[in-house]
Amino acid sequence: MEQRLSELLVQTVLLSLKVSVLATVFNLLPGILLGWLLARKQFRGKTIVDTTVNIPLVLPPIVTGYLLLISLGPGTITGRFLEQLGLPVAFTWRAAVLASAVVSLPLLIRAARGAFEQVDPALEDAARMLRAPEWAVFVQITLSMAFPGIAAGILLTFARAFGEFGATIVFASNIPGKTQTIPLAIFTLINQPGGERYAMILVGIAVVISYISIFVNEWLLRRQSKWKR
Amino acid sequence: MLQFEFKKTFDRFTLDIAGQLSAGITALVGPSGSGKTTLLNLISGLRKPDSGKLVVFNRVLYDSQNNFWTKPQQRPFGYVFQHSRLFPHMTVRENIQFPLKFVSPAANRFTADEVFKITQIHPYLDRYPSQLSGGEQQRVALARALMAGPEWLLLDEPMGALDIGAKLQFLHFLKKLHRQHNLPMLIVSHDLNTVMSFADEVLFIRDGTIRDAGKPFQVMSTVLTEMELEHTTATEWDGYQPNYHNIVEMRVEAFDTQRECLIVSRNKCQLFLPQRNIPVGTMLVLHIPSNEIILAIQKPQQISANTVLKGRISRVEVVGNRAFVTVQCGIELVAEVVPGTVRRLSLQRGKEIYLILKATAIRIIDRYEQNIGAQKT
Repeated sequence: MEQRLSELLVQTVLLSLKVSVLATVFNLLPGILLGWLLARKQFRGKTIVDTTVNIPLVLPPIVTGYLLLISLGPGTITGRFLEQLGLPVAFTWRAAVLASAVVSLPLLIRAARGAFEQVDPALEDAARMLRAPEWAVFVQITLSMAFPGIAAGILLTFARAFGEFGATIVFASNIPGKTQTIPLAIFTLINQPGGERYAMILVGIAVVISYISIFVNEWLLRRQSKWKR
Repeated sequence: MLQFEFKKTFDRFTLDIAGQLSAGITALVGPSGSGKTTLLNLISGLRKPDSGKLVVFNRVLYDSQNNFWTKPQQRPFGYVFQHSRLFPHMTVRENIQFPLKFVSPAANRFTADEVFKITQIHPYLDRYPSQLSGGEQQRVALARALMAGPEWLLLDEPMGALDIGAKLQFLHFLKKLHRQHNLPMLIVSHDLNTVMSFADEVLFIRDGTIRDAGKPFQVMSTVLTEMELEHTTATEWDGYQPNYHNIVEMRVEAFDTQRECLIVSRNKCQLFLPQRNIPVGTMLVLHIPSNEIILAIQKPQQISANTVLKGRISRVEVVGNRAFVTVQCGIELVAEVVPGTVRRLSLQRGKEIYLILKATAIRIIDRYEQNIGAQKT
């Protein structure tokens, strides 16, 4: 029993890291792209897009999870389609990744948007006058200068994904060794006689990882403000 | 030659402007909100006009009738902005090298060495822009623009935020650049004295159209007349006093122990300065304000001023309540008097005249060893 539990503990930590890292990676492209779009472009329906992408931030995570379940769950058309592709999502680790990604995406979008807004478009014009093609203007000026802010957002996204509970438990369920991430395991252990000892280990790990993420996040933010004059 | 014709309508302002620039130094003056910066942005391609045409050195860059548009990256302009717009996350060196990734060295009309020589920025290469003074930042911005190999330089109030010393120094760099490399410039400025001392031609624009164009003194008269007619107060030209900045490069020749003055010269023209410890051979860039020069018909005797130069008047221009007398005396110096003096002494072209300069009125704005930056023209 003891050995089985400590094995499970290691599995839980590794799964948690895998899920939150993948969720963060999954968010990179849409997060940076939407952040840039909202910071730099004027288009019809911008307010709608802005509101929609931010909704998961305030929606109870359990609702987000339930919405994911009824749109991608086993009984749905998309769910069945994904199963036929050999990629079942609901009640697998993929569901945990997706739930964490959806819940944490707004944090990346907001951070990226803020970082892009801090880059003076006048500098982009200056680069154009120095013959830089548009891609170089974006990569070497806009993205380079926004990078510390975006990186800080990435850290925050990771930390949020790491702590995801509500949406995950509904959409991925709480299956030890399969979909049970650290928060779900803690929830199970503290409801179990004699589980507190293991729960405390996981609580310790969660606190350390979260603390490091936010510490690096703050450090990155301070780096970006150094460039402002 | 640069020909432009632009129409652009904004919310509360319409720009409808056409003109042509010769390949010298053209200054663009006008009150704020008259469309100066907009014109620069339309020429550079950073903003798109509603309609019009732009031709530079017989090359069409924009023609709305044929729906032809050249991107700013492909236009032959260098742009020096009002605030340096240096990239804050790059060192001075990285800023300077930025355009090199996109311009082939063969296509560049300036080598890095030439750019350094003109702008004298080597001491700051490894610093970040935030560690430089305003004047240093603008010199780096100028250097960076040159590294992109422009055929025409656009400058938007590049000296607007600089103190008088840094301003004259920057002006001197631009003048030298133009002299040595024949680079045409279009410079926006609200400092009429700078413009007058520096430009070959002046465009005066107001409310989105050109009011006058021509030689500096002539256009300045138009500007002053308009200001007087409208009793302009509260504008950026309020309290304007015309004044010409004479800027000359001269070499330290010796120290005169009897006068206790430094002797500097150029083309057999000799001046005396109050400085003591500048080694012989040093090149000095001097600023001699036009209102510090006294004119005399006969050679004055026993006066306090150390420098008395003999020369010949080449031009007399009246601007408002001032007259500017250009004198050739080995170097060219402009003296400023009231128009009554022109009549009283019958000052006119070809007349022989003496210039009197106080040693203490001459300012050194820059200095360097002759082997690095001295240029004979």
